[in-house]
Amino acid sequence: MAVAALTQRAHHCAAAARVPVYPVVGVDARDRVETLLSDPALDSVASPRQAAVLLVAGALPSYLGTDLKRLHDQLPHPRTTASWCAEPPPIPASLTLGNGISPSDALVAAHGELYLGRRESESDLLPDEPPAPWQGVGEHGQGGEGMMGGKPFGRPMAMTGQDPRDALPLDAVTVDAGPFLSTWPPGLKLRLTLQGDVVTEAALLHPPFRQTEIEAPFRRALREPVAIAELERARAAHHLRALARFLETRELRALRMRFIRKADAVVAGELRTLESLRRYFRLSGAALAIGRGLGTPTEGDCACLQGPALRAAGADRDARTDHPVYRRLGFRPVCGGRGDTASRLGQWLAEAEQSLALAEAAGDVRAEFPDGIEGPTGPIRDAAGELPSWDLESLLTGLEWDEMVAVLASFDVAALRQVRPAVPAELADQGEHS
Amino acid sequence: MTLALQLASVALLLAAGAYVVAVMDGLVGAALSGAPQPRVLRQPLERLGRRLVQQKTETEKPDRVTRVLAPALYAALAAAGLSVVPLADDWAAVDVEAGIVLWGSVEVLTVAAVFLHGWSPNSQLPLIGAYRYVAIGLSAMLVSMFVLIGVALPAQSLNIGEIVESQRSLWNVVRQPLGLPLFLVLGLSVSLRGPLDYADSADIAGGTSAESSGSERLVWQAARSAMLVSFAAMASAAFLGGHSGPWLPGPVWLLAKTTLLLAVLVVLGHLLARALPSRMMTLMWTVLLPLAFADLAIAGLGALP
Amino acid sequence: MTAIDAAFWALGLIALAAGYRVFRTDSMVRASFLLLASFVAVGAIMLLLAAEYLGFATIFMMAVEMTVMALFMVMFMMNPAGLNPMNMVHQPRLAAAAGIAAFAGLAVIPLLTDFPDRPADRQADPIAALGNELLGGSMLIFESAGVTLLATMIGAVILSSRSGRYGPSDHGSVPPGLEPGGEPAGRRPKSEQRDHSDGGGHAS
Repeated sequence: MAVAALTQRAHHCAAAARVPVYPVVGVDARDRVETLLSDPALDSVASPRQAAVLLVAGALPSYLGTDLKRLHDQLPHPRTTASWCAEPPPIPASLTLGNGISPSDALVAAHGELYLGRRESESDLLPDEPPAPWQGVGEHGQGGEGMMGGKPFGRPMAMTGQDPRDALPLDAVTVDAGPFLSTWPPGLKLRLTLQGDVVTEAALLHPPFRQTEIEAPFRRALREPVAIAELERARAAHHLRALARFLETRELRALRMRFIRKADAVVAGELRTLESLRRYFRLSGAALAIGRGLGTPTEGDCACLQGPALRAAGADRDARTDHPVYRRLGFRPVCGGRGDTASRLGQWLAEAEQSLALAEAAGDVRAEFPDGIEGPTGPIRDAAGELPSWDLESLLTGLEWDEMVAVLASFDVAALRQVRPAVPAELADQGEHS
Repeated sequence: MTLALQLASVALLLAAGAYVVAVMDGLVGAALSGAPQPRVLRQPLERLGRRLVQQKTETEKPDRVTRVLAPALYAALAAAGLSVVPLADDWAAVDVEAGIVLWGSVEVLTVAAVFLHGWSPNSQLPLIGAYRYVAIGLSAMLVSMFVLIGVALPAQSLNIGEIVESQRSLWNVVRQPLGLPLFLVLGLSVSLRGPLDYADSADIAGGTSAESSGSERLVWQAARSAMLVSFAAMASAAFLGGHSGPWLPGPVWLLAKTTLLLAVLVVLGHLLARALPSRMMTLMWTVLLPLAFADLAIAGLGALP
Repeated sequence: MTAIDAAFWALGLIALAAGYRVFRTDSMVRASFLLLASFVAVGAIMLLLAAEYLGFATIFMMAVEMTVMALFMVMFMMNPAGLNPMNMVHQPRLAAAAGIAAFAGLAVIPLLTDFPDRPADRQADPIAALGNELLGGSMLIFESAGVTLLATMIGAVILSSRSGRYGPSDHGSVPPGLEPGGEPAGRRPKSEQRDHSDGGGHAS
């Protein structure tokens, strides 16, 4: 009796809790998912094991279906999937968001029903079995030669390899990371060879999904006059969101939320200065925490970059320099200098501040940019040519896991989509239109 | 009879303290994020409810025994640490002569518990968390041991009660100004918090607890908070004169000082960025460890007759 | 039987059982933490003997050592949960014989020794006595052992580090000659004296 009453009490408590959501972000969905999850009733969690709701937002290619199913099965019961995209996602979803009722209310309601037993928990999508049978061959039943190596359960075990840093032979193991790992650019999948937490080899398996929601006003400005203030506020918001993602990798969840909320306030025109955000950024020691010289691309690779990442490496290339309206506002591009992770972050913050100042100075001035415009991640033109690609894999090689995550968070998705090996055309197409 | 009462008070303090830490986390998080949190007082209980009824997930080929034992060991260590802190005059649950050394073993076994927690699910990201926590956690422990030897010097004893007694005239936080700040680093480290969370961090999807859910996660998270409480109580005994103070009864003083330290630790945990492991390692060995030596030298000079 | 006797037997059993399991498990990490469990039980027995400092210090030191050992094992052999079974025992017959001989030798001591019946003074302060011993009569022994160990550790770190005295070890670093342009100074490894083609260096 008492146990049953207690269990029921626990279910009621659980039903009222903040909704733990694990977001799976597809094409052009990152910003709206982040804004949704800044609702205090929702809680964005780092691992699917902590979630009750799997939120699938934006278009996802069907060939990532197996990855998504495996992720789904990692959620503990009771669990449910919510779809927040135009087309049905590659896995069945019990809940569809975006028809009338606000998404956060729908998630809270579904979560409550789930714990009160009014909504059924979803069953596994993949069979619960080892991906391959035991393949031990050695004299003690181990996988391969000597004491190690081989492929027990179909996966390669660690084998000795040379450590790139101190010439000590350590065991290396190869794992696939992504495409839905938290704090990673959504969609990015890398095959990493790790020695401890040092990446000794990195291979790109899948590029991150395109995220161009924030570029809408810029694309509009190619065709019709748009208020400079709107453009610059969108740019500032993009940079603040980028900084917020980096702050999450530094364990600063509260400050990340502050930056996201301020980014939304900037777009709405409610925020005129970033003084307090800069103070928090400095107080947190986020720049000190990564130090100088981390993740500097080679000179040739730097030249392939665009927008803030390029300017952070010292180039003063900015399409705004030549535009008469910006010249009248006294615009001069901000240039960082070192081209490392810290200067890319500093560049975002400095450019966001500059953009807010420009938005203030511009007032209601409207302008058209038929020849192309400097977007938040680089020039936007109607006839976009093929961009030169740069080498992310060798930039990541030799970094520790945490360093790799920090470096990845210091590039915008546009830069990460521009890396070698070039994304196969059919893959890129599927990624965007499926 | 007294022993049972004392052990019960330790358990009660840890549970209440873990709740207070959860509420503080909610308040500080809300203040820093600028997003008002509804039901801050109820949220910890709601989370508790969820973890009680949520499924406990299985991984492939885990070490089942260790997976259960590691969170339990962590919680037991928090209790062991708190049990040597006197709540009032001659009123510690376990009054041992070598209290400081017991606390040292608690620190080290915490590193072992976190390692086992990350190792047992047989999964890559938890293992990375376990692996790098050992390196950072042991360095933080090394720094803290020198600091603790410093507070034992003026008391001429390893007993926590004697150390509290030696601060009747002057608190150690004044006598050894480097001590408390250096010791706080350990507090963030043993409770896997903010700038020293190398085990359960966001970059590895929750690290050692990336694979844990339900009751296992409940015990682990509760133990993290309990360890913070245990640490704050120890720090207030070692540096802020513990239960001693005018007018009010001893336990009230200890609670007030512990709560103050908890608030400081929670704010620091939310405010400071986690450095890259290699940078933190350099900081520990080239800055904090020499500072700990300096602290010990100051303590030694002060203890000269 | 008092509570202390019961605790002694329980801890003794734990120490023995965990120690036995060390050699029966198929994972190095399990082996090192079982060994730690065994040592913690021994440390607790020391606490029962009122040797508080030594008991806690044993637990403390063993926890550090076993954790570091486990860390290095994971570093050199990523076999997290013994997924890849392996035989943990080498030369089992010789080891068993040596173990039995050692046990017999040690068992002879308590059996044949006539222990003095001299109950310690209840007021005695074992921690102060230990401190006076370490920093008094036996100071020379302990200090020389400590300094020797420290020198060994520093030496081991220097030998294993990549940045050698004359440059990165895997880039063929050689000491400078005794006269300008002369042969590199210092002793040369035998293998190199036979074959000079690869440019020298201790990592070739």
